[in-house]
Amino acid sequence: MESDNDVALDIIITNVVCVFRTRCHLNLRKIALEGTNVIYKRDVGQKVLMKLRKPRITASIWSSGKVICTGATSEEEAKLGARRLARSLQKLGFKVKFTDFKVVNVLAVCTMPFEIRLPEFTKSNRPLASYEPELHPAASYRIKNLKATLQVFSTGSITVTAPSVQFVATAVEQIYPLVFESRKTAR
Amino acid sequence: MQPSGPCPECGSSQIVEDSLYSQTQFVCEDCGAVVSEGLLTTTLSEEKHLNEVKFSRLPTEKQPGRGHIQGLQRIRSLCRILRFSSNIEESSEVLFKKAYYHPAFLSTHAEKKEALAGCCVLVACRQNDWPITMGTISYLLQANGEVMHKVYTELVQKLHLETPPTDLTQLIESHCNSFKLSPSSCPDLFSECTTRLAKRASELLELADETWLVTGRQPVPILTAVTYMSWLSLRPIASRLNISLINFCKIAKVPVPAPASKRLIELQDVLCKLGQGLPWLRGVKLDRKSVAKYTEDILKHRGILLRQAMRKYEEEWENEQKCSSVLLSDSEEDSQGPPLKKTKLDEPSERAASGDQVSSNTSGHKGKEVGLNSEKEKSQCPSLFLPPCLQNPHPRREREVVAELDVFGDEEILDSEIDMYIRTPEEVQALCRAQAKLMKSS
Repeated sequence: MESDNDVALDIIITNVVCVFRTRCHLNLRKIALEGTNVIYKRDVGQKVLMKLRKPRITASIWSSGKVICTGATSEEEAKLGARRLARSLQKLGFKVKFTDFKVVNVLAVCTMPFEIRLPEFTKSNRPLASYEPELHPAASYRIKNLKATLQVFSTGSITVTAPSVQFVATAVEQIYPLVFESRKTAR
Repeated sequence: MQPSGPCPECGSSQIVEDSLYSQTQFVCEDCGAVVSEGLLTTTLSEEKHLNEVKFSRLPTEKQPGRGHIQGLQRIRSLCRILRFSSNIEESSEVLFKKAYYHPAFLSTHAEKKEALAGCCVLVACRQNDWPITMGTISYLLQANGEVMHKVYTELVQKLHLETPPTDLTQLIESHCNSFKLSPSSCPDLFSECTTRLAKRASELLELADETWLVTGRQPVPILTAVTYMSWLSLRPIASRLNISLINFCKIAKVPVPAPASKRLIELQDVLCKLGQGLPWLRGVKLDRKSVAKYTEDILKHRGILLRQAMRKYEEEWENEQKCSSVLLSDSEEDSQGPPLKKTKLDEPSERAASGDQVSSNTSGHKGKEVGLNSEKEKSQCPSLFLPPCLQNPHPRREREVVAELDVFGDEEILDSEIDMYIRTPEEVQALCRAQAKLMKSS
């Protein structure tokens, strides 16, 4: 995503979290028995973890029919994985309907070609930015209208969490001029 | 409530009102049958008739609860131990009162409320520019560090507080004062004046900040390492140089934070790099042990030494670039560059293997991204002093490179792809038999 005329920044999506509903009750014991790559978690909030190989996705399945899928590296992959999962549940004998699919979270990483002075960055961007070295090595920056949270590290690496890929890209475009001002300049 | 009609048992109309304890009843006088009964007195019924008023509605001022009082006592004792001004004590108490009755903290368990008192003191100190670390407060309160962190984050978020960060240069003086190095508490060879120690330590801290050793790190280990280095350099005699960081902290009766030794090594490496620029040290082999003797000179001329070291590094890098471009001028491969740059700038291309990319101009191929990076390498020399995690990156596990899927999300799903996730009936029976055997054996 080009946010500056001279610099091309690569935003790498590392995780996409999505949810969908099956609109039917699911027997977790049956899924654990007849499904492969399945872990039955009987502790608080009983659920089943099912892992798909292609795309590489982990799904948490509750008996109410709610399913959360994590591990995809794009929104399309997340949808395909969710549909594959719904199809597997259908094959196990449940009357599954693939409904209410929604991407809820996208995690991406972007590396700036310079180091960033975090105390200066925090000072010039209060109160949206906060930096507590005793708690976490990065400065966190929230963009309310995009519902995005950015973690800015001194190495120049920025982790972005937002509800969609488009918001992630917009957040990186917005943060670039701010971190550029606080970059480490040569003496 | 009025009785409705005659008694259903005997038909008599002599119905009297009676009460069984607090429950009103209508009883037939002739046969004694209970015709009807009222409600037992409840707060709900009495509230409807406005007989009872909730305590929360009373206009009288409520007394503070036990947890509130204990929290205030904790705050007062903390402020007295640390000798804070009355401003800080008052603002901590006001903040605690506001936070205690906030819904986020009112119904939490006692450990969190104890930590809340410490967090209020910390926020008040920050707002009044008083340097103190969270570690000090959690140590004095004997509170769990993780709980303190969570409560502090929640407090700042829920009450929308602005807490300016503590400047380490302000912290260094109070940190040095905590080291017991007066002549009365340790041998003369090891004793040191606190003012001189703090002054030398703050110079070392500035140098560490300039060379990326401070940003993003816990403050206390750096302060300890810097204080030790300053103690060594103020009197670099053999008996001091033989004392390690751990022994120094034992002498000064101060706990050793775990990462302090790593910070010390990083600081000593920086001092060695800079010390090589001093003209009178050319030819002298500088190592981590001996650099303490020359620390005073290095600090005195640190500005010039930093500029010199970086300029020399840039010149060496440019020469290497020229040599490598001459050697590879006939080939079509991209130039590799010196090892230090590879560490920094190849990371984005390594990370690209693990995920998808969003880039307006690329077609998503790694090769093209590496091409972009090599162009960057040619134009930009990296800094000599980088954050240590970039200089010595952790060896990353090579994730298997998954071929990028051209997915659209709505493709057809074949049955064969789904079958691999479902067990056959024979497999299910075998699993049941195995589970039954395991149950029997256990």
